[in-house]
Amino acid sequence: MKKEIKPYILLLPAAIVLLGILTSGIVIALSQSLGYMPIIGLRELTLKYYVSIITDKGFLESLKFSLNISLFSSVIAVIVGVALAYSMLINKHRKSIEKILYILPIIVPHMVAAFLMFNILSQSGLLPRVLYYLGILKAQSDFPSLIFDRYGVGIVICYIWKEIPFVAMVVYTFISNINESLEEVAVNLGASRRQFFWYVMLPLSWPSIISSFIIIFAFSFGAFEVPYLIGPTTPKTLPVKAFIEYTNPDILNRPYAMALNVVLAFISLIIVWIYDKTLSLFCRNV
Amino acid sequence: MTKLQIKNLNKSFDGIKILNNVNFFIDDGEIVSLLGESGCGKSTTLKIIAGLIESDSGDIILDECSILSIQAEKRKTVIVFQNHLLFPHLNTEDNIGFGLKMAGIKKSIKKNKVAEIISLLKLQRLEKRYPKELSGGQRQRVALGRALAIEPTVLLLDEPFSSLDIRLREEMRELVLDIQKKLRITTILVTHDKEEALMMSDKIAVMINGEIAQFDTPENIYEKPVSPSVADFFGEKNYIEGSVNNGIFECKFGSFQVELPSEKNGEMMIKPEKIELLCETEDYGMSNVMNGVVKKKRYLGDKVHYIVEVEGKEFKVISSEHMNFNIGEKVRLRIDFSKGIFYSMSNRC
Amino acid sequence: MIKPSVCFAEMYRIKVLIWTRYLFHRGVWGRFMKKNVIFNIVIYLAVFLILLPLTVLILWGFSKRWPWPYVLPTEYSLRGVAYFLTGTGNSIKILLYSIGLSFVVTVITLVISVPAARALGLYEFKGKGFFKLFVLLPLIISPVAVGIGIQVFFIKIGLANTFLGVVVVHLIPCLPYGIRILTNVFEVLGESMEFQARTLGASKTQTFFYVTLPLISPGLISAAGLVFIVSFSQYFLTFIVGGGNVITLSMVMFPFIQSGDRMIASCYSIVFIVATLILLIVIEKRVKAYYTVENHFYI
Repeated sequence: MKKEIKPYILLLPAAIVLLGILTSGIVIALSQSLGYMPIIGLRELTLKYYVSIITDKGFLESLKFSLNISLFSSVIAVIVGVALAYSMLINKHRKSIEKILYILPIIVPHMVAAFLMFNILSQSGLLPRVLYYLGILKAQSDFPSLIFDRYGVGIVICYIWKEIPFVAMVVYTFISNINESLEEVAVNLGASRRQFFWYVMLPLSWPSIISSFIIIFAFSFGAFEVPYLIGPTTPKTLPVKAFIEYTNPDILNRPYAMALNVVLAFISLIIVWIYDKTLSLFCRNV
Repeated sequence: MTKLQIKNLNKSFDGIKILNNVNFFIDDGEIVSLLGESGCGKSTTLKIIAGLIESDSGDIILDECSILSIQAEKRKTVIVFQNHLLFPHLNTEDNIGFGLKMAGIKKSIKKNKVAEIISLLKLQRLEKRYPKELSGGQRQRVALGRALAIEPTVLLLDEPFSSLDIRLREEMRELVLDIQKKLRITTILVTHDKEEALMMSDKIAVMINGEIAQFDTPENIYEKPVSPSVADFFGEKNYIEGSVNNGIFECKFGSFQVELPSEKNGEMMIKPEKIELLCETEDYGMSNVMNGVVKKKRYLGDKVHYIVEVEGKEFKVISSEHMNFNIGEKVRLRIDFSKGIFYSMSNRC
Repeated sequence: MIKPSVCFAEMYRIKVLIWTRYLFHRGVWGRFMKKNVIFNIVIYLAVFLILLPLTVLILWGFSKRWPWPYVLPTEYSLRGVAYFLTGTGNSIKILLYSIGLSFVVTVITLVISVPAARALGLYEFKGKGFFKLFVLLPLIISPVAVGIGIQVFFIKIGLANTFLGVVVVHLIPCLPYGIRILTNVFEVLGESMEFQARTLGASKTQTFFYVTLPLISPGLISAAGLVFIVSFSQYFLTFIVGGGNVITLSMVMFPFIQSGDRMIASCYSIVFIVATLILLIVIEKRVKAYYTVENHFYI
C-alpha cells in the first residue's frame, strides 16, 4: 500500500503549489467574468461579457494579430534554429561558440531584447544609420517604421532573436544524444549527407522540434512585455489588451477584463491540447 | 578469382598503431573470418574497407581496381554492426528498403526486393513492426536484410552474433552461411569466437596486435599454427621446452622420435586433445608414456578437461573418453610427439 | 580636422566592404571546399547577429550624445554608470535584493522539483501522463491571464504586495523548468545506482546524499541556472503581484526602457546581463569543483 502512494506523496508539494495557485487564479477570474463580484454588488451570473467580446471587432483584430505574430515568428525560429543546431552538430569541436550562442539571448530578458530591437530598428536606430552612411538611404523618414507598426515587424524580429538560440539549444541537446553510429550506418547503405539529414536525423528530432515550437508559440502568444513596449496602439495583442482593460479605473469594467483573461487562458489550453496530440502522434516509435 | 584484396593497410589513432601492414584477400563468393581479440583493430579494418575511416597508407582493391578514391556511400561494401543499429523511426519494411530508397530505386522494384528479403530471412508478419517491438534475433535479421537488400559487392559482418544467446547464435550462423552460399556474396566476418571462425569460414585471417599473423584455411591454421600466439587462439595448449637433434626431441621428460628439422632451443606444442590418459595400473611398456597426478577436473558433458601434473609441470588434457579420473588419482599420459609442432625460441610471438 | 567618430565610421564601412567581397569569393570557391564551410558561415553569422545588438547596447550605455546620423556615438560619458552606483535609485541595493529573491525562488523550486521529478522519472502510476502535461501548463498559459487572477486571489488572502507573495508567484513559471530538466535526469539515471548502494548497506538518507545527489548534480546545476534566469527576468508577475512594494531590478528597468532614456536603460540592462552571467559562472564553477562532472542541458 505504501509503495503505491509514494509517487503521489513525492508530487504533492509541486501539485499543491501549481494546482492551488493556478486554479485559484482561474476560478476567481472565471467567477468575476461571469459577473459575480459581491464587493460591488453584482451577484447575478451572466454571459453578457463573453458575448460582448465575441462580437467586438477589436477583439477579433487583436486575436488575429497575436496569432499572426506568434505563428510567423515561431515558424521562422524553428526552421532557422534547427539549421543552426545541425550546423553546431557538424562543427562539434567549437565548444566556445556554442556557449555564446545559447546563453546570451536566453539571459537577456524580453524587455531588454525589445529595447535592443528598438535601438537597431527604429527610425533613429543603428540600421538606418548604417544604410544612410552607405548611401542607400537618403533621409531618416525613408526607412520604413518597423517599431510601433501595424504589422508588428519589430515584435516578430525581437521574438526571433530570442527564440532561435532557444530552439537551437533544445534541438541540439536532443540530436547530440542520437547515436552517432546511425550516420555511419546510413552512409554505409548509400545515403548522402543530405539524405541522412532528411530521412534519418530530421524524423528522429521531431519530438524536440515540436516541443520547442509549441513552447515558443504559446509563449509569444501570451507574452506581455515585448508588444507592450514596441507594439502599435492598434491593433494590440491579446494579452496587452487584457491588461489594459484590467487597469481601467472603472471597476464595472472588471468582469469584461476578466472575461478577456479567461478567453486568453482558454486559448492557451487549446494549444496545450494540440501539443499533446501532435507529440503522441509523432513520437510513438522513437 | 580474387575479388577483394587488402594491401598493406596501416592506421594509427592518437599515436598508437592499430593496424600494421595488414594484408589478406578474398576470392569471389568466399567467406573469410577476421579473427582476433577485442580491440585489436578488426572493426577498424572493416570501417576502412567501407570507407568510413581513412587508412594512413595501403590500398583496397576490388575487382582489380583500387576503391580508395570512391566515397563511402558509393562503395557497396555494407557493414552489419554488432548492435544492429536499426533506424528507430522506421519499421521493418522501411529499414530493409532504406538503401534502395537512397539509391532512388523505383517503388515497385523496391517493394519486390523487400518482399524477397523478408521471405529469405523469415520475417513474415513483422513488416510493420518497429525495432523496439522486435526481439534481439529478429532485429539482427532485419539488420542483415537491410544490408542484403542493396545487393552489396562485399558483405562485412562485424561480430553480428555476439549479442545473441547461444541457441539464437547457432541459428543465425546457419542462416548466414546458407544465404551466403546461395547468393555467393563475398563476405568478411569479424569475430573473436574461434568456433565461429572455424565453422563458418573458407579462410581465416588471424589478427594479433594489428598484424595478420596467419592467413590460411581453418584446417591449416588449427593443425599447423604458425606461432604460439596463433595456436593459443584456438584454446590453451601445452608447451614443453627442449631441443630437436637429428629427429629426436629431447626434453626433461625423455627423448622422443619426431620428424622435425633440427632446432637448438624451443618449445614443443602439444594439443590437449592429442594427449591420451591411461590408467596407472595397466602396463604398456611404451616409451612415450609419462606418469602424473590429476590436479583439476572440469566436466563439460561431452568432454572432460583435466590438469595433470607431471614432474612439476602442468599438462592440460581434454578427454572425450568416458574414463572418469578423479582429482588426486595417478594416471599415465601418452603423447604422440610426432604430431606436435616445434617453435624455436625466436618464433615466439 | 577629422572627427574621431567619422574616422571610425570610415573604418567600419571599409570593413563591411571587405567582408562582402571576401564572402563573395568564398561563395565561388565554396564548391571546391568541404561542405563544412557553409555551416561555419551559418554559425559565424549567428554569432555576429547576436553580438551586434549587445555591442550597440554597450555603446548606448556610455554615450552622452549619439545623434542621427552618426554610426558611432559622438560624445561619451559615464553619467549612467555614476547614476547606477551612487544615484538616488538605490540601484545596488535593488540589485542585491533581486538576486536574493531569485536565489530564494531557485532553492524552493529545486526542493519541490527533486521529489516531483523523482516520481515522474522513476515510477509508473496512474495519472502520470496527466501530471507530465500539467507541469507544462504554466509555460504555456499566458502570464497575463494567470497573473491577474492570482493578484485578486492574493489580495483576498493577504499575500499581495509581499515578498512571500512574489516568491510564490515566481514558482509558477519556474517549477516547470525545474521539474522537466530533473525528470529527464532521473529517467536517464534509473534506480540501479540506488539499489546498489542499498545492497551495500546505505540507508535511504545516506543513499540520497552520497549517491543520488552527486549523480544528479549536473542536472541540478542546469536547472538552477535556468530557474534563476527565469525568476530574475520576471517583470509582469512581479509587477502585478508585488505592486509597488516588491521592487526588483526588472521593475526599475522597465520605466527607463519605456521612457527612452537610452543611456540609463542601457546601463541597467548591461548590469542585468553581466550580473546574471557572473552568477551563472559562479554556480557552475562552484559545483563543478565539488563534483567533477560534465554540464548538460537536459530540457
